[in-house]
Order: sequence, then structure tokens, then C-alpha cells
Amino acid sequence: MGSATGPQRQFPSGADYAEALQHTQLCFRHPELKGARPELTKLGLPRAISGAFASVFSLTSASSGQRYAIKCFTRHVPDQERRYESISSRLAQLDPAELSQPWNLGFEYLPDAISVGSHRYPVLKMEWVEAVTLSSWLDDNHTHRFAVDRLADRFEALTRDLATHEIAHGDLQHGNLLVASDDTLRLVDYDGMYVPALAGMGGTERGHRNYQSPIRGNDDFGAALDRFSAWVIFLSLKAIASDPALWNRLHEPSGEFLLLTEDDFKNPGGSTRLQTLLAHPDRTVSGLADQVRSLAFQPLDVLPPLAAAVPRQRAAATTSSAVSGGGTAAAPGTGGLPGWMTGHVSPQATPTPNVPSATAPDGFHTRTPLDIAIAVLLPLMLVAAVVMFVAGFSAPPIGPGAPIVAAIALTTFARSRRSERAQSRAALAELTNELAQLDDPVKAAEKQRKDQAKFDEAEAKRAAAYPRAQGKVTARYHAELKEAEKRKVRKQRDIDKKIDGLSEELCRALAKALTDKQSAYVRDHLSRRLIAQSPPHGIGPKLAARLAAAGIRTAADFTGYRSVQNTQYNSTGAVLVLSSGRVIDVHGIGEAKAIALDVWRKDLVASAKARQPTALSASERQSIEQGIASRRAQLTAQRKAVESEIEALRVKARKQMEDDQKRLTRENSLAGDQARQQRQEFSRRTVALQQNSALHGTLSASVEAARLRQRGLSFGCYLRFLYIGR
Amino acid sequence: MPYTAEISRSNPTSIIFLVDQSTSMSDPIGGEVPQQKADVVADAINRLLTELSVKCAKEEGVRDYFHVAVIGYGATVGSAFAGSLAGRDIVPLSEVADNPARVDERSKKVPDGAGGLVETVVNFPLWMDPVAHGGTPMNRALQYAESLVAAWTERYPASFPPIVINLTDGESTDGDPTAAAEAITSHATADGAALLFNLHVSAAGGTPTAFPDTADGLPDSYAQTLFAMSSPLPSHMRSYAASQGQRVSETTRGFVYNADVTTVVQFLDIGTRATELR
Repeated sequence: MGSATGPQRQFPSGADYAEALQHTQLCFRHPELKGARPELTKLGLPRAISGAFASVFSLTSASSGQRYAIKCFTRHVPDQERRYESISSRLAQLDPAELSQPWNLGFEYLPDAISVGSHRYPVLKMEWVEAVTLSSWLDDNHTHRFAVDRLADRFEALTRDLATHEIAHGDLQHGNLLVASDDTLRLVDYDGMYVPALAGMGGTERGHRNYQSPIRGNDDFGAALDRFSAWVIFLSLKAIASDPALWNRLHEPSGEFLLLTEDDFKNPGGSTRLQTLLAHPDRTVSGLADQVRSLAFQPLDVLPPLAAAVPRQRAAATTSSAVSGGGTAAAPGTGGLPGWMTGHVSPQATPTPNVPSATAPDGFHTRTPLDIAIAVLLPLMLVAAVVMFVAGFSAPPIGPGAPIVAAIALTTFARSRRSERAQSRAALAELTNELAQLDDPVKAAEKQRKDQAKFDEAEAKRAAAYPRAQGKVTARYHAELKEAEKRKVRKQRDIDKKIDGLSEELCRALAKALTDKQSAYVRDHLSRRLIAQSPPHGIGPKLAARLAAAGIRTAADFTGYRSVQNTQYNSTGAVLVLSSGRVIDVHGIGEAKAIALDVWRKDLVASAKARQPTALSASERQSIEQGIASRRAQLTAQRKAVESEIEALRVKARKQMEDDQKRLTRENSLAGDQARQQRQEFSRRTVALQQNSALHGTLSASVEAARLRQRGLSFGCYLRFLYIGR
Repeated sequence: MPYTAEISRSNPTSIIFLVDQSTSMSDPIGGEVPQQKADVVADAINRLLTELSVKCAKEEGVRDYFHVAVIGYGATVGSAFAGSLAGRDIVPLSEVADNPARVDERSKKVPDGAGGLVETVVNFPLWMDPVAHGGTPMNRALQYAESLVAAWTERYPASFPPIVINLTDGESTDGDPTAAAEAITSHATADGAALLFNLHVSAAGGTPTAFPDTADGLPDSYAQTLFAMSSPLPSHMRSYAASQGQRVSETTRGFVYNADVTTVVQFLDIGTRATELR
């Protein structure tokens, strides 16, 4: 993948080229291409064949009538010009007479050849080749065993041509191998080709994944690049040649592979396709399949070239049927290479997954001395039985049945010694065991469906619960706001009442201050009038002295008198009321004197009242007003405090709400992530289920086949084998 | 690792375009040449469909690596295909490629090779026409897409997950689209969750905010909502965006605010960039 790190030249897209190629008179300067006629789609746009790096268009030259494939690049390829030049000159050096078939195509790299927008870009001008891709050729020809087998050999010859010249194509696959009308191969798309002049440079692509070793990396670039893909293609062609039905069985109609895919190389144990080839009765096929299986885990440069192994392989293939019966064909599970491969493959340990066993040979093979002895003995015993019967020899312990019983016993014994029986039993047991370990696909699918339904239901509930929870949080927030507002109004109303009362309070305070001032004036006046100095009528100095002794010196010292009924003398007396409220009886002060004192005092009061102040002074007034103002300020501050107290409550509630919402969102997105993972897991399981179901089918078929084979080892079959050898 | 599934005919992916067709789409888009937003968006999608057809063209014809839906939302919500595909939802690419509503001839100036420009006519296939009528029922559009995504992930559990691309110019008129967006991205294949990308087309001009990795600095809550709805870009789209000169980080999202004409085209190019096609 072209992960771009530096500034790279931007290339036009396929559609940009398709647009420019509507006017080849304008976009090209090259005499062969200027005005060339592009092949069009039914919409009237130039028809493209696109790959990851480029789109190819078919143009017929106006000047020469020659048809070309013009490759227009849609992505930057490092050192593109240098690569093409090296490849072009290497291919030009090949002597056509030395090649197995004319597989190489001429091409020319033309820098700045095409104008798109306001820039010019290079193109690759290639010979147009009339040929079909390997996959479509196989669609049409897979039943022609001879033609397919010949193509396999031609492919092998092609890889030998490449190896001889230290060239590697880099992306051998069904789309880059074309088959011409004479059934010889053409190799196209040289973008990723290795030639010795490019040694030390990196690769530009990794090749088609269904043809590449799982361990091929980005940096692999060298003459050994094609080895794994060559084995894969050769195996596929040989297998189809041997058994054309494999094409429809293992190849999918639009599948981007021949018989095997990347997954089959990566996971041979779980691969139905590879198992089918490994278990194939044709030893060439099973041997090649085993080769591919073991090569998948070896470094590219130790892989044997296809060309080197093939001559030996051919010899083996022709003799393989003659040495049948030599045990299992592909020795699966042991990792061992077939004999013909030894010496070509490094004996490195390869991971070999546990795979269900392949076929045991059908029926009995190769009689042992024991079998021959039984074969000789059996008729003798039968003859003995007949002779005994005819001779009337019928003593109870050894009647004519005895030889027959002995014959049956011997045969049973000999049959039980045959290795085929043990093998067949073992194979069947292993397969049955494998099958038992697989879940029943129908049950598993049902469980998956149920799990998914349950999950969907839970998800629907969750989806519904989330807005409900959000609503609850919002509702609580609103309720708290409302409560706070109510509280604020209540408190402020109380304070407002107090503020409103302040003016009245001011009036009252002012009035009271005036009254106080006036009464203080009167009291002061009264306190200045000494009884002794200006005594009221009838109060002499003696009485005044007595009054003074009782604490009454001035008019301020008493407030009035109270008449007292003197029961003892049945006369009316009087007591004086002090300013403290206490009453006092002063000797000599009777009712008349008390009245005189009271009148005196009242006169004084009246005269004082006439002169008392009628208003407060400005400063007195101010001080009172100040007191009220400070009360007002206090209350206003309280009112404000309520405001901010409630605001704090509101903020707290809001924060609580936001925290709750955030928590809900977090929980929901967490649950969402989990749900997503769960769905992904479901999808994964569905895929596994589909694969499992396929494997289950294959295994069931294998079990069925093994049972059939076991039936081929019956007593009757053994008897036949004893005499016929099959 | 998610978003690495190869796209093949047996494991295709789907691209679902949601196209805002509200009245305001008839306003001009920001940019040098005044063009209606609806025209720009329709042109970009028509061009992209040609692009995909060319990209997936092989010897035998266009391969169904992609299945495409174009859903319009405005006065109604439903397929925006015109011509013989009218009313269809998800259509295999080979069928799309063969059935444009019509092929327009458009004039275009190209260099004449002598330093000047010459006017030529090029064929331009059209699958949808610009429409600008009605409100912005984004919720309904997303719900519509969700039903398509749900069916797709069930049918192709191993495929690269569906890509939903929402092109809009205004606020949803049928409620907060967040939940509907989440519903889309809650569907997943074995390769990852469905992707939702949002493109906001500008009327105002100004600088586009392309592929941000944080909501900080987005002008309003509407932009923040769209940002939050958008999926992070998978790594292959990130590297492609970087190669196109975009600044991206690990958490870059498939979202552009205030896009101009160039950005619309680039956004579609990046948002539909496939992993390897096989």
C-alpha cells in the first residue's frame, strides 16, 4: 500500500484519464497515439481495465492501425522510469528462439506522454495481446484434461525461462497469465518485475494474496519472488488436469483464485479446499498439495524452484500407481514430504496443524505369506469337510463341521491381521472424532440466531432506556430549579416586608424621640423647682424638710398622690407617689397638703409643657435616619445574599445535571462500543459458522466414504481378495 | 485490526450517500465561481460514480466490489437515482455503471498543446439531478440509512463495513440526529463498525475545517454535533488523506465543516477510498 509520507506527485484518477482520452488528438503528442481511437463503453467513455496502480485503455493508432494497450498511472511508483527501463532492456535481450513460448510482450515507457488537466504524465505503451486470462480460459477449458495438463507443463516451462534469466514477475496469478488462441501463455503486467539490474531496490507490490506465501513481506524483492506462486499455480493446473470436476468444486465463479486462497495456506487444518487436494487419490495432486502446504511456512529464498523439482516429480508421477499400497499418500499430520520431494525441500520443521486423515487405500492390497497360506488351506479344509461328510464320519466332537469351523476361524484370524482393517478403523475413528469435535452447524446457527435476537432485544431496551434516563435527569434538574426559585421568593418576600416597614419605623422612632425629648425637658424643669425654695401653699419649711428626708426635694421627685382611708381614725389621709412608682406616707402630709403639692406640681408641669421643644434638632433626626438607613442596607444585603445563595443552588443543580448527563453519555457510549464489539463478534461468528458448516459437510462426506471403504473390507471381500488379489 | 478486509466480489462493501435536498441547497456555495450547492453536490456524486465504475472495471466489465445507494432528503426521503434506477436503494456497481439516467455533453477547456486552451465537449454520465426543495429531515434520512446498513451487515458479515456519507448544508429540522447517527455506527461486520462521515457544505465561504480530531474551535454546537456524529477515519483513508495534503492524526474524523467545491470532491474521494480491491 502506498502510505504516503513525503510530498509525492499527485496522479490523475482513472476517470480523469477516461475523460482526457475522449480527445486523443489533444492529449497525446506521440505520432502513434495522437488521434488514436479508444475502445469505448456503451456510454461512450473510453473503456478501462483498472488495477491498483493504473488503468489500461485500448487504443488503435490512427496512423498505423496498430492496437495498443496504454497504461495510465494513478499512483506514484518510486523509480518508475528506471524500473521500466531496466525491465524493458532485460526482456529485449531474451532470444525468442530460446524461450519455451513467446510469453514476453514489448512495451515502451513514454515520459510526459499524456496531458490531463494542465499537466503531462507518463504512460506505458504496450503491445495489445489477443488472449484471455487464465481463469476465464479455465472456465471454458477445464474439462479438456489434455489441454490443461499441457498448459501446466507450459507454465512450468515459462517459470524455467524466468529462472534461467534470473527474472521474477512478482505477481503471478490468473489475471496476469493470459492464454493465447494457440494455448500458449503470455505474461502481462511487469510493474513489480525483478530483473538483476534492480537488485538492491525494494519491491513495489506484494502480489496477489491468494498466490503468495503468507510470509512474503514488503521488502522481498529478488529472483526467488515467484517460487511460491509457481507451485500454487502448477498444483492447481495439475489437479484440474487430473480431476476436472475440481474446478467447479473448489473454484468459486467470481473467486479471485484458482483452487486455493490465502486462508488455505495460512490455516491448512481448517481448509476444506486444501484437505480435498491432500486427500486426492491421485498422488501427483496430493503430493503437490502437501508441497504447497509445507512451503507456506518457509522463507521465500529457501523454496525450491518449480523448474528444478518437476523432472523428478514427473518420474514419480508415472510410477506412483505402480507402487500403490505403500501406506497413506500424503502422510498428513506427520509433516513428512513425499519421497520424490526429498532433497528439494529443506527438512525444516513446519507447523502442521492437526488435520483429519486422508484416505486409506480402497480394499485389500498385496497378499502376505499368511494370506497365501490361508488361500491354500481353505479349499483343502473344504475338501476335508466334504470327504468327512461323504465318508459318514460323524463322531460328535469332530463332525464334518469341524474343518469348516477351523477354516472360518483361520480366515477371520488372517483378516484381522490385515493392516488395512486397522488403518480403516483408525481413519474412521479419527474422522468421527473430528466430526464430533465440530459443533453441529444447524444447532450452532440456531444458537447464534437466538443469541443475536436476545442481544437485539437488549439493545432495543438500552436504546429506549437512554433517552428515558436523560429525561429523568433533566426533570430532576427542573424540579430542583423550581424548588430553589420558590425558596428564593419566600425569603425575599420576608425581607421585602421588613424593608417596607422601615418608613413606618422611622416615623415611630422620630415621634418617640420627640416625646422623649419633651418629657426630658419637663422632668428637667420639675427637677429644678425645689420644694424648699418655692413651697406650695401650706407647706412650711418643716414639712419641706420632712419631704426632703423622704426623698422628695423637687417637683420631679413625685408624680401625684393617692387618698388613703384611715380606718383607725375614720378619716381620709394621703400618700405620695414617687417617680419610681413607690408610695410614701410623709408625716404631716394629709389629703389637703397632698392636693396642694399635686396642684403645685401640675402648674409647674403645665408651664414647662408650654415651653417644651416641639421638634427634634437636625442632628438628632439624622442620627435616627442613619440607623434606619443602615437597617435598610442590611436588609438589602440579605436580599442579595438570598439571590446568590439560590444562584449557588442553581449552579449546583446544573452541575449535578451536567455530571449526570455526562455520566449517562459516557455509559451509553461505552455500552455502544460494547454493542459494536458484540455485533462484530456476531459477524465473526457467522463467518466462522459458514466455514464450519462447509468443513462439517466435507467431514461428513469423508466419514461416509470411510464407512464405504470399511464395508469394502468385509469377510466376503477378504475371501475375494485371497484369490483375486483385489 | 478493523477496517482491513479486502473488498472482493464475494465480500463487497456498500457506499450510501445521503444528500440534503432542502430549499437552502439552492444557495450559492462559497468559492470563486458561484454555483448552487445542490449542483456541486450532484456533480460530485455523479463524477464519483463514474470514478468508481472506472476503478472497478476489469476485462469482463465493471465488477461489483461496491454496491451504491444515493438517498435524497428534503421534501421526501428516498432514492435519489433518476432514470431506470429510480426508486432503487442499494444497487450493485455494475448495474449503476450501465444505467445512468443520461449522458450529458459538457464543454471543457483543455490545453491545445501549443500553450493555449481549446474548448472541447466531453461525455458526462448523470445518475442524479440536483434538487432543492423542502426541509432537512436528517433524522429520517439517517434512520433510512440505518435500515440499509442493518440489512447489509447481516448479508455480508465478513465484508468491509458499509460507508455512509452524509452531505448537508443545514441543521436537522426533525430533531437531534445524534441518536440516529449512533444507531448507524452501532452496526458492524467482523471487520468493524459501519462508518458515518459528514460533509457540511458552506454558503458562507471562509476556510473549511477538514478532518478535525477535536471539536475545539468548531464555531457552534451544530458543527460540534456533526463532529460527534462522525466516525474516525480508518487508517488507509488517513494515509490517503495525508498523501492528499490533509493534516491528519490518529483520531481524525471523517468530517468537513464549511466545505468549498474542491473540498467536496476531495472529501468524497477520501471517504470512498477502498482497501485493496481483489
